[in-house]
Amino acid sequence: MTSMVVNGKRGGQSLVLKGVDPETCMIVFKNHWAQVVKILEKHDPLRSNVGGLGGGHGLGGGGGLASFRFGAIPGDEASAVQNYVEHMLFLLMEEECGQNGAMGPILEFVVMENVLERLFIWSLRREFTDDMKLEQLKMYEMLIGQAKQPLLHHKPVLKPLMMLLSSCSGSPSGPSSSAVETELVLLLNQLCCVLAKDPSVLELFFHTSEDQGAANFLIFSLLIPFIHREGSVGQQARDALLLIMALSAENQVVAKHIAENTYFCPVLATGLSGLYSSLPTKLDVPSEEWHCLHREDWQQLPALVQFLNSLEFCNAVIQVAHPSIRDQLVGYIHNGFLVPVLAPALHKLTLEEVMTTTAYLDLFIRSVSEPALLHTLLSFILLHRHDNVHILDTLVSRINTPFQLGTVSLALFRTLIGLHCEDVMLQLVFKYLIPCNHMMLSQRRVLRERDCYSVSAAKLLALTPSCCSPEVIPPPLRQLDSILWSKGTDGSHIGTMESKEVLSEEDDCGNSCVIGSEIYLDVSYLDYLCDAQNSISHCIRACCVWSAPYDGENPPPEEYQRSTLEEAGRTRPPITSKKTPNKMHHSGPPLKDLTATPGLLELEWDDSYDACPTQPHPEEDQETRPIPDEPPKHIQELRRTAVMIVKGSYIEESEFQNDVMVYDLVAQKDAHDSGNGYHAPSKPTEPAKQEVLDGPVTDQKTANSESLMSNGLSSPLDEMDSKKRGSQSEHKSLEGEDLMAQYEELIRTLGAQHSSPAKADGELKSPTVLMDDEEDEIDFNSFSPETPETEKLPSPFGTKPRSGSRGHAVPFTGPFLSVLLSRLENMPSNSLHVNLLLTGILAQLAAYPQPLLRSFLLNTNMVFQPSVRSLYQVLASVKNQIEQWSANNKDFPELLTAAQHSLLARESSLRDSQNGDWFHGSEADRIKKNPTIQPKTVVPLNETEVYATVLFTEFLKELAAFAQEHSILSYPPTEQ
Amino acid sequence: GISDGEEQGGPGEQRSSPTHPPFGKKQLPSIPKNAVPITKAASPASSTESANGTHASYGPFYLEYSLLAEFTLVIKQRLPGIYVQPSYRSTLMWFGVIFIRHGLYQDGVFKFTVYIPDNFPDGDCPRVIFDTPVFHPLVDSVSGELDVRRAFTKWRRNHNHIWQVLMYARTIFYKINTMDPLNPEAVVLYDKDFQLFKSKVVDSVKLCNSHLFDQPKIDDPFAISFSPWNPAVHEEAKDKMFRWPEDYNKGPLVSGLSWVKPGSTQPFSKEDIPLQT
Repeated sequence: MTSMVVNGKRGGQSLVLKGVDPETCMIVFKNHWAQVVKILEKHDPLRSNVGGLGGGHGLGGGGGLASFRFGAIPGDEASAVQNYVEHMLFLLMEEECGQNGAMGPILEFVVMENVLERLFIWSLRREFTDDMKLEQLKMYEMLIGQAKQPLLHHKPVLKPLMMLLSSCSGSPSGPSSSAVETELVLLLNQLCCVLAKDPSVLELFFHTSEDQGAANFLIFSLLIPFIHREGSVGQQARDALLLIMALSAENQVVAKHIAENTYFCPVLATGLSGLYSSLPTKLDVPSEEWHCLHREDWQQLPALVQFLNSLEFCNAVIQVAHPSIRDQLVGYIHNGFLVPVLAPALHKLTLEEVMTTTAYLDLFIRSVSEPALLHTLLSFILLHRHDNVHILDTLVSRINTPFQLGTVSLALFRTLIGLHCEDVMLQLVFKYLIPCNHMMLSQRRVLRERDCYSVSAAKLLALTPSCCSPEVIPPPLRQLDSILWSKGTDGSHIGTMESKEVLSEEDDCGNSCVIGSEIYLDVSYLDYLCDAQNSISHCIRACCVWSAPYDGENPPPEEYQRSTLEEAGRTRPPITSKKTPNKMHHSGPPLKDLTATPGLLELEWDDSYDACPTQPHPEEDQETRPIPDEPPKHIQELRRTAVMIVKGSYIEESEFQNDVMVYDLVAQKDAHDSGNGYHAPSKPTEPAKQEVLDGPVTDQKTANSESLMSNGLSSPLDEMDSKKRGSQSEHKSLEGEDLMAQYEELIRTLGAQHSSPAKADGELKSPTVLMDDEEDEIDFNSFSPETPETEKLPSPFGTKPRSGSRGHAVPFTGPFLSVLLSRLENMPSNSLHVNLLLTGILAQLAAYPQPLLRSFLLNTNMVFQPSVRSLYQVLASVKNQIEQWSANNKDFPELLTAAQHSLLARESSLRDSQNGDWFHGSEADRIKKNPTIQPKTVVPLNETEVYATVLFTEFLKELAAFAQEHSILSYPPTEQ
Repeated sequence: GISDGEEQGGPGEQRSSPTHPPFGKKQLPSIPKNAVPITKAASPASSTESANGTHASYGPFYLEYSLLAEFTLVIKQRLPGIYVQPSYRSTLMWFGVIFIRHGLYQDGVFKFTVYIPDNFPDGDCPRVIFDTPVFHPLVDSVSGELDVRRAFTKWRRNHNHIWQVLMYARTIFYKINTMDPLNPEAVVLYDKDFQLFKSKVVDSVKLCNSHLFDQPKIDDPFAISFSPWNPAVHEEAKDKMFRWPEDYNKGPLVSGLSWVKPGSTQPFSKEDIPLQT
């Protein structure tokens, strides 16, 4: 309201002011101030205490002594002050710098007379209501935003501003209204902008030797409670914090302070835990095909949006902040969120919960871009062990669950592989291939050979089922797309692709190239080639940062042979069959029905050749088996503390609060003595504390009075402490004189204190001391920000040692490849979307240029150990299944055509809707969403064999294209 | 589509000429694929299995990629003084030039064309024909054809590669072989009157070099043609060549991740990982 008035007047005045000479302005300003001072002094309890006896100023005579000294300030006087102040502010704002950047006369006057501080005290003197705070906040906002000379360099400006800020956040007068919060954050944001632009101001803020004390820290810590706030206030606060983070990158002092003296990182990290706890534990899965959270999915979930906002903020902080902050934050995220919250959540009781967590994890990885943060997430997945099992092992094993969890897990691995992260690929794939045990010894030298004549491509394409062979039945949809090579005797050549091109050429030397007989060239294959080339070259460039080429020589197979053999033995337990899913089945009632359904169980993979590698040992089964109903204690604990921190009971010590307290005492005293200024919130009471601890989590209030006071109590200013304690517990009986004495004494001690702040700092800034005093529950030190895990690695491969040497030295390509291939072999009975995912992941893998992987997947001539199943073998098996099936189904050709139609329709609808989508590999995910072309006949999706046949044929082309492109890609110049 | 295994070229989505980005094969700018499958009726069936007709449909692709693979090998060999470039119309025809830096044929710049049989790699060896018949025992004085067959009596797939042919074409100018010559006159002079042989070689080199700036014999966009140094045309190209490795890295910024210490096979074994306080 006030600011509206101010704004309104300003518009008119600025016109008037133009051309008015500075001296006149100064005179006006001084006059106004003189008027204001009159009123101020009249109501100043200190002065009136003394001056009242001296007859006062006769003017106010009618009011009687009591009301004169302590009573409410008459409205007309308040508004008079208000009016003068508005004019004065305006004059101050409009004043230009003096010569050589010196203060203008008005500013100088403001500084000399301590105008702003006195005005602040004045507003405290009156009822310090939200309106009053708003008025003051807006005043500063306007001053800082519009003044023509720098103001913040001057202590008499800075100090009252800091006191105001402090009083707005943690004032004893109770939670601030949202309007105050909004204004406060706006002002803080503005201050941060000033800081970012003018580092010299930062210096001022940071001079701990001056009595601003922790001024900058105050700005910073006032923002912290808003970190996880939703809406524009939260966004503004985060933006402001990011400005400070960026400052920290270049300013060691700021960085050190944030890392050592604030709870920024823990609040941020454990806030994630708090926000995570409010995410739905089970998602409403739109369809059976659903397997990953897309933008349109998570945008429907406000809690998830909020979580992602905070995660994005973490990402941004890690991007811009000083390494010390980055490292600390990353450590807290690991120890305060991933390990205590996400790990147990990944091992929840029911499939739905686990599936949901998996989808969240996938989304989180996709949402994060900073290497340091990815490092944390990935090392959690790769190295962390929950109940003595690596998260990665668990996740791999879940690919095999026949339920939606399996699909969601596949989607997660698609994301992981898409990162082109050496560590991930090492753990998933390469560590099993490095020893070269999976191939015959003689094959090692062939490993790096390229397929010069596209032999592998030809062999792959030769697996095309006869029903789909382009020669036997040119696919109806492709006739248009095919190049018809006709006998070119008459010189007119039909080529739909580029008919003007002369296809037959006779050169001088009589080397004639004769056009062949009519051949249908599959033009879609060109697209596969093009895609393959893009994928491979992308992958090659991404892998430039890797430590080794994985070509069968580096890393040398011999060196890693032994450990990997052990490894192989470990992950290859005896074939006891069908137990992996049972692990899940035990977990909860919802699954019982499923286990009872034999049909579903048959979907489990056939482990006859592939010895279900993640199969837990019996004793382990016990361990992983259902865990108590309630979430683990530490999660509950963490959730509680996190919620508490996030929702606003977080405060930091600040010396300014001492000042504010003093002023506040004055105000309280006034209020009480006057008898009509009583405000419940301004009284520190026990119930207020209860409210914060047990209150509803949606309560967005800031710190209450009690915590502020206890905060103050932890200060080493013993003298002050005792005074405050006294003043709090006995304030009702306080005499006016006592209060004044306290006031004066406090002012003195504060002054003394400021001259030697270094001493106090050590104790003051220790989080433990503070937190122990304040909230017993919060023990941030229990989350060590240090790297965990790595030191726990028992074997060179970071997997746990196992007793017994069962199945030792059986060549094995690792659980991940095995599980992928085993699911692929079930292609005909897999649903379309599972097959899309599977083939998609294999295509991702096929793009990797490392000879070890390339040769395993794409070299059809490699001879592998009998126990190793190659991709080619699996594909051949699928082909046979399809051939058999098509032979037994007469209407297969029609179904096939219809399925091609509907898949093409899907494809083109995806292409339409895909524009601008951020996630590249997501096209496969939106099966049949927004179908733009309706196919004539719809083949029911449960005719999996039909779709699988179409997909299989296309997959062969995709793989062949990869094989061909690998053979011709030259590698980056650095390689040569 | 990374994860999509189905038709990519739906109706109306024809790509008439999917040009390859010039990744790693700078010397091979956009050979239109559609120009390549120039092939004899007999050729597709001649190699590998063609059991169910897939080979017929994809045969031209195999041939194309076999030749591209050969070309990639040539690049990798970095043959001194030899430059080749497949023609625009067919990958079965390559244009080349050899610079001779010392010996009898010093300062010779010989343009040539390589013809690759369309049943490559299962046919005869490629033919090499000089644009101007060089005076040389192994080069036909009329057609300019080099006797390649003496070095590659039988072309063996996997063992013989086109770069070897190019290497051979270079070697003959440094090490003269007079056995079973295509140009008997040259051999006679070589044996009987070496001075005359030498002067004929010098004449031949001069003749070849005098035709250097001629229009290419075969009209093809990718034919090699020389012109006198013209800063307006050549300076930029030269700059580009020298900048090539940098330009290469300027592509869209893609970076994978690695925290594996070189020499280790442990994930997150690098020491400078950002996780210490």
